[in-house]
Amino acid sequence: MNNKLSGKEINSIVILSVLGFEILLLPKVCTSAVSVVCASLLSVFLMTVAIFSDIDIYENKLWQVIYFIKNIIVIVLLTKILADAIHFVMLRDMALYKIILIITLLCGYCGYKGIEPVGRISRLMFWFVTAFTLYIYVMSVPDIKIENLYPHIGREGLSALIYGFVINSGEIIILIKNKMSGERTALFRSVLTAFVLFIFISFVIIGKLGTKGVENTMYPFFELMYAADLPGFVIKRQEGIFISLWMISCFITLFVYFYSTDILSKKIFTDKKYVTLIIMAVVFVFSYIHISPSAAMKNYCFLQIVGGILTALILPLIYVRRDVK
Amino acid sequence: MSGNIENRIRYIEDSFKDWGDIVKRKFYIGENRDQAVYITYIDDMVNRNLIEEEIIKNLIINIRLTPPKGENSNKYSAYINGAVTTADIKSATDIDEAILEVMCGNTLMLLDGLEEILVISTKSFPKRGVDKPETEIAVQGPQEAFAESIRINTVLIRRRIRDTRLKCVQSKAGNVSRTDIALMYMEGIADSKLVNKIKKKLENIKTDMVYDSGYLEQLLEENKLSPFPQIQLTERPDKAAAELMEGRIVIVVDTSPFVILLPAVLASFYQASEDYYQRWEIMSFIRIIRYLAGFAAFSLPGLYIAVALYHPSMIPTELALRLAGARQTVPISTVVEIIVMELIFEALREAGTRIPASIGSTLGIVGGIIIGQAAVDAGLVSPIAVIIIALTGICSFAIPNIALVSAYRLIKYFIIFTSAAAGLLGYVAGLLLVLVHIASLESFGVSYIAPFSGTNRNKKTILKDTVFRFPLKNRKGRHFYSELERENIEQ
Repeated sequence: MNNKLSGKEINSIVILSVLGFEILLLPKVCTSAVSVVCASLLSVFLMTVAIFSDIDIYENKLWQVIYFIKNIIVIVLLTKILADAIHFVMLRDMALYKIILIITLLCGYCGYKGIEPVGRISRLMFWFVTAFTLYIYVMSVPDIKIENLYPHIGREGLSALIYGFVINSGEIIILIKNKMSGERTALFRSVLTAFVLFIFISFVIIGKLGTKGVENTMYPFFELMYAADLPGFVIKRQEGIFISLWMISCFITLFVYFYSTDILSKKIFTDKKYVTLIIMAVVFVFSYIHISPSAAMKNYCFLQIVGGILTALILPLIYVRRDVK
Repeated sequence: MSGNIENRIRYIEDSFKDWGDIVKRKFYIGENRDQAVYITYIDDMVNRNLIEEEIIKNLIINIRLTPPKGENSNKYSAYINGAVTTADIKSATDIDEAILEVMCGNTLMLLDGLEEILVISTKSFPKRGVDKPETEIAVQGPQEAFAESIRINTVLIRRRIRDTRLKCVQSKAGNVSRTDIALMYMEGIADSKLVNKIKKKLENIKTDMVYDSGYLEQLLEENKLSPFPQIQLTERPDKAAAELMEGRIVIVVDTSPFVILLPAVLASFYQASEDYYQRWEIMSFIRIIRYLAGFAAFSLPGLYIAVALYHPSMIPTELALRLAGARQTVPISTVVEIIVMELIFEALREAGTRIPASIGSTLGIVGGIIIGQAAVDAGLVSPIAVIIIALTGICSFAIPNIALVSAYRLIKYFIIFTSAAAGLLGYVAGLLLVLVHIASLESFGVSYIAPFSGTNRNKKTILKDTVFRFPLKNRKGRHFYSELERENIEQ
């Protein structure tokens, strides 16, 4: 094997990252059909920049440090958000620190193993996760109230455009671009597919719950899961199965961030022996800091807006200037 | 050590000092009985009839009166042509090399005035004949298995591939055991880079003994800490031949009835020879069953623990009440119950392997039915736990490869542990950890989860022989192992 990610593997990672955290963060990003479309269009633009520019965050010391710090904070917040969601929907009796510990150990190990295994399992799991996730939404299509999808700017108004930065798959591409062996146009096609899926899923959620319903629900995505049912299946309360499969897509995003942080730390620090363990310990400790799930989501969104501007605007500009010189 | 025959004889006899099974004979030929001949071999490792009829008789009767004269080269050819009437004969100049040949079952012949030492192939070990396969049983198809002799095994393969492209490179492994090994591959089909890589790896093996292909398997594996087999063994010559045609490389080890297949991917452990001897519809169905059974073999107890301990609401109410009722008298927790039952099952399985076949069925009845039923009646374990363990055991027997079953047996406890720690989250986390571990494995540069992932080759052709077994006439193109050669060329 050539230790590179194939185009299909990157596509799987990108689409799964959209189906995972982006859907979970929906109420903090966009709550109306119009804002979903606007944010998606902006995000597609940003991802196109990420795909076709020659940005390499691993080559410059300054970017290494900036992205290392940013990645650590992103991992902490995403771990916290995911742990809260799992705690809320699946394991209410379990102490939060145990859930955080499991997520940290799993993602730390997988990130340490490198991006190739992550790409391979993304491709392997892609159809399972996508099929089950889409099944939930397709089952909810009859419940859509069309008036919920009428042009209406949600509570965030025009700031929906800004929230396009939050949909962070462009950043995922930047983090793993140096391992890409496939064609860029193929990757662009998969980005479009991911956003068609994202718009469809968002429309189903907003169409079913309405803007108010989305705003007032912590995890609107789970509301649809509760309603989904596999006919003739012996197990009741099947949301456990759906959430277990959906969790995989969230883990894939975290694996990529852990991998990138691991690589960056090895470039920044001289003592490379225990660096992965130290990162895992830092993530575990900071994820356990008591902040509400809502605050964690807001902080994450803010960080991603800053990160999105850096990744999609500042870095390409620096590259263009350097190329002109 | 060259020239003087007496010095050489002394050296050989010193080397074989206190060898009660060595046979040596010195006699003289020529008109004046002035040319010494020395023959040595190990008793019962050689074909004595061949030595007596084709060598000693010729020397004593045919050559005795007219021994070859003149230059060394003339003498050598005269002995080769006149004195030894067997085809397989070679010369050695290094005496240590010649002594090694004696230990391999050949006969060594020293002749006065001849530089070379003649090594005559007279191997004839006590060996088992071709028997029925015991670990890869097939209802339909050939009923031949490899034996412990390297030559029988290579012949069994050659019989199935009558093509000059089938190469057989022979060498030795083990500094002390000097076991014969044969590397077989199809030139032009197997990846040439892979062949060279394996040759180099075999050359670099540092060990004293190789008694079985299992030794080589462990020495060749790239990730020594993984419980998953990265090299495949088979006892079926038809399977070895078919794999050669798919671009894999076969290593035959003397004294082992199992040959090594390289490289190995997870999908290859789910394939059996019989898959190709029966109709594709039923065999595709059986393949799917195997994959599902394989998944259940390591994950079912963990899933049961996760659902029973953390998510009982997922079970239909009536069933949940019945399960709770059945567990009321059980004094131990669900996790301990499952682990203890699994360990008892492992003990039964181990006992079943060692026990004579004639009383094996008795053990199954006593262990499986009587003890199981008694444990349930006594309230020591719940019936559902017995069902889960029995199902897991049955599923593990559906996998056609024993090495993969062994890996799943270990992984099962890991999944039990993670599920017991965090319910479905632990279950998914455990499965993902195993999956990432498998995805990070490579067998001689081939991704362990190829062709499902980790290869860029055209999946349409490749996937026709993994989860499904497509009709033989639809299998255009070869397996992805042979595609590696093309991949290298394209790069």
